[in-house]
Amino acid sequence: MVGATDRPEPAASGLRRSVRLNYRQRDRLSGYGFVAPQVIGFLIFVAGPILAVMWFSLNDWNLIVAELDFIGLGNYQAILQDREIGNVALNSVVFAAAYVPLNVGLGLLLAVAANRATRLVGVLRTMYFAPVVVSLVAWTIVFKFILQDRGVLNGALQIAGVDGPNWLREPAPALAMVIIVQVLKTAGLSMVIFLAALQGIPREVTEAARVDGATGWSLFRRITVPLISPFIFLTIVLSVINSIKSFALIQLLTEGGPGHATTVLAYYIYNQGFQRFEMGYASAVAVVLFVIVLGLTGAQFRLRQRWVYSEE
Amino acid sequence: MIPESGSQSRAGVRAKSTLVTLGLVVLALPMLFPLYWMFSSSLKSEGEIFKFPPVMIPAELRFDNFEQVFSLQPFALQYFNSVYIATLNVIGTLIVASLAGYAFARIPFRGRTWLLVLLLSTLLMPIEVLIIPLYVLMAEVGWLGTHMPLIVEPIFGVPAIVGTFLMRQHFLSMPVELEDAGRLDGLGRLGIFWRIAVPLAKPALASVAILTFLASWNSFLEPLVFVSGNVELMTIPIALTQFRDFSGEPFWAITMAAATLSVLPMLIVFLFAQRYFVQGIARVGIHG
Repeated sequence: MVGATDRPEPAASGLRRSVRLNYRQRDRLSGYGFVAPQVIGFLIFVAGPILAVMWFSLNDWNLIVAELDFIGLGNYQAILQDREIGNVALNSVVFAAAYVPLNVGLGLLLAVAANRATRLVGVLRTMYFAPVVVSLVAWTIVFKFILQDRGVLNGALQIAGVDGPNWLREPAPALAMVIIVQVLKTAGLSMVIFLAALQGIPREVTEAARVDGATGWSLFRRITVPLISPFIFLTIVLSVINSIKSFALIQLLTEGGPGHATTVLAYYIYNQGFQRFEMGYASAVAVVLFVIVLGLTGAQFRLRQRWVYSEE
Repeated sequence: MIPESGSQSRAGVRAKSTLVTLGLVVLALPMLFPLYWMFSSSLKSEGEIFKFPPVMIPAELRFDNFEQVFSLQPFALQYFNSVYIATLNVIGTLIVASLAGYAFARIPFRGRTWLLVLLLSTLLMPIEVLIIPLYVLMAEVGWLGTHMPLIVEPIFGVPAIVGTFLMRQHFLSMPVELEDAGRLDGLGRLGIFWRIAVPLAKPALASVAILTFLASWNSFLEPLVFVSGNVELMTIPIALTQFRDFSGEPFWAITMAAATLSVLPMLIVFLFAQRYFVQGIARVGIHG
């Protein structure tokens, strides 16, 4: 790297030594300066809170009583004995297990299909991407309206002679709808990412493969998928993030209900902490979520090394 | 002789592609219908809202629903809140993320790699994990019930880390020769950053700006926790849930009107600037 290095100048007298930093040292200091805002903010707003939530989880702390009472692992024992927790954990898993493949799969399907219908690509892309741009809250509230027992979905079903359930008030339909509403909102994003990926595949590669006799499914599996694997990976990661960050969606559609049928871990934290005011207990649940997320992050990192095809 | 793919006649191929197009249009219905329903319901009377059979086009256009949006709540103020908070978030994040991103990409300093890994390890972290301590922190510094948490936290929190990462990826792809030229001209790091790196980073900055704006516009838990209870401090997402009568039953037509108002600007911007949206997303995909 090009850089002039100033040698520190020898002291004029033994009493005063001027310390001149050389170029590399000054550069390093500037590096610290540049990242300082981000890092200091990170310590205050991310790292600090993570440590704090771990500390809170070791206390019995009700917001109204407003006293911290150290109880060690008491909250964690309570979690194991909590009748609701099994349900909440199951909901979280079901939500993620259904949402991620649907979001990625639907996006890929739409992108492949739209890529074929080349004349309409632009229009289709707009249509499918519109829900992504609309605010999550507005989108969810509209669906809450549509899914009311007397709402338009049941109205349409009634015209067809079908008696639709009270979508948001019955456990299984409510969870299904939460998943579907989220998928509809974000499938367009997956589609746009995959479209960009598909359009980035050089024609020569697909032509060469076709000449070799690859068609349809085998072309897709052996050529297309590996070439877009970074994008598939990215979409999976984004989907996992979305399925964890589902608070607004659930709060607005069902408030975790009926009962706890649509409560996931992230929502349970809010419910316990800000509605039941059991901050200590909620913190313990938060730590559990934190550990799960750490595990997912590590897994994602390792999977990327192994699974994503790269030309290096 | 190159074999024909399958034994499809030309009519067969055309039928297949029409089917595909039809399928695509059908699949678009659940995505577009809610938007249409929101808009048409905003113009209905309360009686038409749940009428059976469902009313596709209101009998008479009730624009007074829109008036009610502004008379039931200080909606214009709430709108302004969302806009100015999002704008401050964008400006703050652009500054913090581009500075940090540039350093991670170009300035060698000890601990750079593990610091980056530390930051990136929190990318999946949901705000729900941090919200309780953040609430306590904001209470301690007296920021509860103000906009300060909403302005400051996103600039340093997880969404901004995404921004830092994106800026780093961008700066990595910038040719070093340009910076060397700057150094030969006597520019220090800040000079190189400001005069050379940043002007060239406009597409990446735009992507980060869009992502940050959207994240801020959509944020729901933070305003709920930090400023709930005070109508004048609310942001749009919270405001949309407030149009209710005394028993808590929502005024659906008015809520749909408010939702339409909140969605319209974004939709219009999107319609005109979709190419930039899409390019921004694609760029994220390439660098992710």
